Order: sequence, then structure tokens, then C-alpha cells
Amino acid sequence: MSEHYLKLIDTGAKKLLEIAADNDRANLLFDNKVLSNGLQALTRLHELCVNEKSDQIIGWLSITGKVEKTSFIQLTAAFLKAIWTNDSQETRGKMTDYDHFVLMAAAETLSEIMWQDKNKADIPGPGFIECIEEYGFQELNVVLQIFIKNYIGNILQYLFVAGKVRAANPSLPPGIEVELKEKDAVAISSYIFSDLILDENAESDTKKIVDKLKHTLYLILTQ
Amino acid sequence: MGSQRGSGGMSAAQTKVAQSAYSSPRPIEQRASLVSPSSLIKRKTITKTEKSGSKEETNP
Repeated sequence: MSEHYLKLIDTGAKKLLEIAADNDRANLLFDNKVLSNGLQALTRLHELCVNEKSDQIIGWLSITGKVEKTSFIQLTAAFLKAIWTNDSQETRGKMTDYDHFVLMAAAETLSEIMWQDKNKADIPGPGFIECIEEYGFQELNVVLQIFIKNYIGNILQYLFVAGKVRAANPSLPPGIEVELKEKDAVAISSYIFSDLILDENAESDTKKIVDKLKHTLYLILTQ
Repeated sequence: MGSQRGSGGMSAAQTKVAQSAYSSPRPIEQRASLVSPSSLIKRKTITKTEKSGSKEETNP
């Protein structure tokens, strides 16, 4: 029933995913420890925000200084560091493109949720308390779906630019780059979450989402 | 275009494939029905007075 989402993916985006899969010799697209770390960290942060455990968030993210002076920017930087350092840098080596897409997606997700009124806030963004209140106010499945949308969207947009697609097709409508994230990646994330039942356990939910991601890519590429 | 960071970048042949995939994009009107998860974000803090106080309205 939810298969109709996959029919809404543009042929160009499918081709970009095909290229990503062909080049993914290291199996980093979805079997990526940083991706799992990101999903688990977003879930853990949600649980702590829902239960108003500010002290635990501060301890986990090693935020120093006064809470009232901590901004969205500082919170996000500490959160990204927690995603990255959760993993063993010694064994992973340099940050990969996919690690970068994960961290960017996590920052975008926090920004969409915590800093909703960008016209009003100063550059550092809203304060710590407002950030965690807004984040804890959301449904977990919405948070994780936004993250997956951003992750897939970042990959598609990267490949679109790497392939110099616009330069080769100057008559393309202006919104194609945005649509890669807001239509193609939305279609994929909508399919993934359409029948996914989360049990709010960071480890098992992450496994479910990553497994569905892999299966979804297989379906797209074999359609 | 090459990447040393895991995504493999894109070969010349793949670049051509990507470019030709967008040479005649098809209209997909039904994509209008897609609902972005971002539109499901709820706003807890509706207003917050900036200068004159600490009044804060919250969604029910």
C-alpha cells in the first residue's frame, strides 16, 4: 500500500541513487556506524528532552558554562561531537562523505525543530531551555523521519552537484535541487516510516530504520 | 570528479548518465501529495515577548 511513495521518486533521483550504490564499495551508504550513532543520539536526546533531564543532557554532551548562556549553536556543536566521538576514530580514520552527510543531516534536523523562527532569533539561535523544550515536544518518529529525509537529500544533492547536472542542463527549472530533498528524499523517508513501529529503544529502532533503508534502496534499484 | 572520502565521487561515464537523466525531466504532478515530515513539526513556544517581559504562550 505504501509502495506508491516509491513511484513518486523522479527518474533522475533514481539514477543518482544507482550511482551512489554502484560506488559504495565500502558499504558506507547505510552500514555506517556514524549513521547509527546519529539515529541513537537523536533518540536518546528525545527521551531526555521529553523527561526534562537537562542535567543529563549537559553531562552527556559535556556542555560547560552556564545553561542560560548556552545557545542552539553550542548545543548543536556538542551534539555533533557526541555523534562523532561515540565511534572509535582510531579504527575509522578520516571522516567520510557519508559521515559528513550524517552530521549535516543531524544539524539540519535540530535546526528545523529547535530554531523554528529564524527571523526573530539572533545568530547563536535560541537558548538551551527553549531548544530542549521544542525538541521534546515533537513525536520521535517525526524527528527521525526528518533526519532520514535530510540524510538522503544530502546524498542526492551532493551527487547532483558532483555530476554537474545543472551546468549540462541549463534549462532545468530552478527548484530541482530543493526537490531532491523535499520531494525525492521525502518520498523515500515516507515509505520507510509508513509502516515502521518504533518502540522508543534507541538500539532496536536504529536497527529497524537502517534495515528498512537498505530494503528500500533495493526496491528502488530493482523496480 | 573524484572523492577520497568514501562516496567514490563520480566517474566520467556516471557524470554523463546523471546529466542525461535530467535532460528531459518528466512532470510529476502527483508529487504535490507528498507531505514533508518537516511540516509535522509542532511549535511549543508560540510567542515570546522580547523586551517587555517573560510572557510565553504555549500550545495546548
